Amino acid sequence: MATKESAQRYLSFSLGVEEYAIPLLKVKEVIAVPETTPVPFTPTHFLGMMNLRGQVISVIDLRLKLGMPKSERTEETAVIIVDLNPIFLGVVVDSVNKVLSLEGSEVSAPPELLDAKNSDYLTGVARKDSKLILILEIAKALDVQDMEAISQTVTTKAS
Amino acid sequence: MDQWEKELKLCFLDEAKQFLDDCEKGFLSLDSDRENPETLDKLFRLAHNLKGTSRAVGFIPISEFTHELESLLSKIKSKSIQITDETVTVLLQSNDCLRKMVSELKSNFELVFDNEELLNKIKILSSGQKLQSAIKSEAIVKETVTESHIVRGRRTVNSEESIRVNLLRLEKLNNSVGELVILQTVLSQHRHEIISPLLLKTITQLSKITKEIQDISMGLRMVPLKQTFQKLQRVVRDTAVTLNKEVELSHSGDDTEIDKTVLEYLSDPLIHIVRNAVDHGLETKFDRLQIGKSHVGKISLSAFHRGSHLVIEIQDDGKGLDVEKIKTKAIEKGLMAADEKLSNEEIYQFIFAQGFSTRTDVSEISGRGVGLDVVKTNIEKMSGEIQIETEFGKGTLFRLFFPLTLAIIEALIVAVGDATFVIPLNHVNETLRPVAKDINSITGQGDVLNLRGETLPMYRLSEILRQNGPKKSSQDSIALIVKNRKSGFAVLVDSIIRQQQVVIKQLGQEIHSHGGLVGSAILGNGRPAMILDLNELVETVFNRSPIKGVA
Repeated sequence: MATKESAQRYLSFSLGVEEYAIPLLKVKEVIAVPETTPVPFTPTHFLGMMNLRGQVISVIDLRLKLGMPKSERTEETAVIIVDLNPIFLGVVVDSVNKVLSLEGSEVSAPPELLDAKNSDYLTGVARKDSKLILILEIAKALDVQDMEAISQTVTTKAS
Repeated sequence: MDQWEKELKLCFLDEAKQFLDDCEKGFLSLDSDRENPETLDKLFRLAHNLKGTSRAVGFIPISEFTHELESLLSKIKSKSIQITDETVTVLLQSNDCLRKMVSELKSNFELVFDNEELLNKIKILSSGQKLQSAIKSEAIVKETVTESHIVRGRRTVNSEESIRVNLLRLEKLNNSVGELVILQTVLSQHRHEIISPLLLKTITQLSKITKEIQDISMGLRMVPLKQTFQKLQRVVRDTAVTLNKEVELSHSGDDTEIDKTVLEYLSDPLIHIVRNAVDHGLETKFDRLQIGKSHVGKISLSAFHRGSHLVIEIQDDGKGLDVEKIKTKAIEKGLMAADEKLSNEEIYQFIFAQGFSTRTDVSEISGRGVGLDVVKTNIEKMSGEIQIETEFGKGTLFRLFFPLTLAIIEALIVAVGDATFVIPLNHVNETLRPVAKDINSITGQGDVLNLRGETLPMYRLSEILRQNGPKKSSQDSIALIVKNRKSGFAVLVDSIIRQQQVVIKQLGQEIHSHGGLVGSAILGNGRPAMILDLNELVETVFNRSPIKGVA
């Protein structure tokens, strides 16, 4: 939620025309889309495992996870490695934009019109340079607990 | 004092510190959840271990103190006394007191402590009474600090101390080294594209040093059994003295190396088995003479590598296991039915059941019925195995198998479609290319394979994993035969790429919950691959035990 404290830093990225932001402290690094090894019995948004300098990390397509249509990979497509202590996850986004600093007063509660499902992981919205930035609670959006549940039920992998 | 005795003591103090950290956690959780039998069990075991090991290395003050603590815990465990705030406070104070003793003994092994007051409190609580009044807890804490009256002595710190490194850091190092090796391989593969002699020379040198670093980093986890064996020598000696027995101990294979993680699990089981051998295995001097044996009992310890396993044998020439006695006890405890027919080997395994002791007296050595169940739990925790060979009247041999390391396994790398998987080699009994005449199809059951007269269910790995894509005909595939005690099954893969050692990496908690996916490994091309446990996988996917499949 919005805090009255001093400015917090966020990393902003795009999914389609929408601009999202996550707290910079959760970001370990940003890399190009790596080769991934598919993992059986996982839902489609689960792209697979990658090797990040000797560490095996799961990679998730955030578009698919949030129910958006699949998009073509471009030069801009990037993977944000997020630190969800104790695990790391790779998150595929259309493009990484910039690091921005938001004052607590610049962030307001998410509007009510967002349907209930999505407002779960949106913690706030901010307006910067006349653009709407949606602030994402990344752990909730990726639903780490839920993911475990999904992988227990055998889902057919669409290819 | 010998060098080894000094090392032994320092090693114990290090260990004890960790034990006490665990204990404190347990005591604290007792505060909120007083009935939790698991916590109580764990605490009791910790105290029991601490008592045993401190005795073994000769820290009598600690051993005496923990003996009282253990008695108290034992009463709590058996519910003969209630846990109150008072109890938890005293338990925590005892922990503080032990911690203090441990840290101060480090600089002087001969310190004497005066813990009368606290010991009295423990004894009062053990007898089921209440402490006179609720003493202000703050005052108690202060007291315990000043309570331990210390006789300061010469500092005897060993300058050759080893450094304790967090295992996570070692793992990170191993990860990076693994990556280095992969990069190195890529570089070596492309060396023909390089013309500069200097670069070529550098690559060669780099490759040598990389190999060296890899060996060192893998070796960092390996430690010799020497210290553990020394500890055991001490255990044998002290136990024998207490029981007025004479024991001749021989040992071999002290320099055999094993993964540190494995060793940590292994140390307690070994102490228990050895103590057990002296206490229960060997007869008293008198009995030995009566039956014409030498009055000196013999115990031998030996360690050696066999394949990818470390084998430790503990042999005594005592009375052996009495099958009938164990059987009676097992029936009494409800572990087996009176008319059940079990092999001797199966009956021997009952001695590892929790609370199973054919002794009735409680001694400071053993006989509280803890011990052998710890042995089994610890050994199973690291996929080890324990065998017993015994001859009534002649002696008993405990043979323990441990994997050399929990981090590296020998594995088959197999291909299915364009995917690659890793299968632990010890899960696969044999591999073969099935011929058409050996494959039959049973309606509603799928394919079966005739393996030298045995009919095994046959599954395709691609189907188990729900992979799409073209399927190779059975004859073009390779069948991996997985066998269990009673039956088995065959799994078809497209091909076996190679056999190699892989470093196991744990799966993140986001995927590990599916049965059969047991880990991942990074292959030579730098890509991660899934390690599959075929047995578990088949069991989960077909929701039935493959062991009971078509026979």
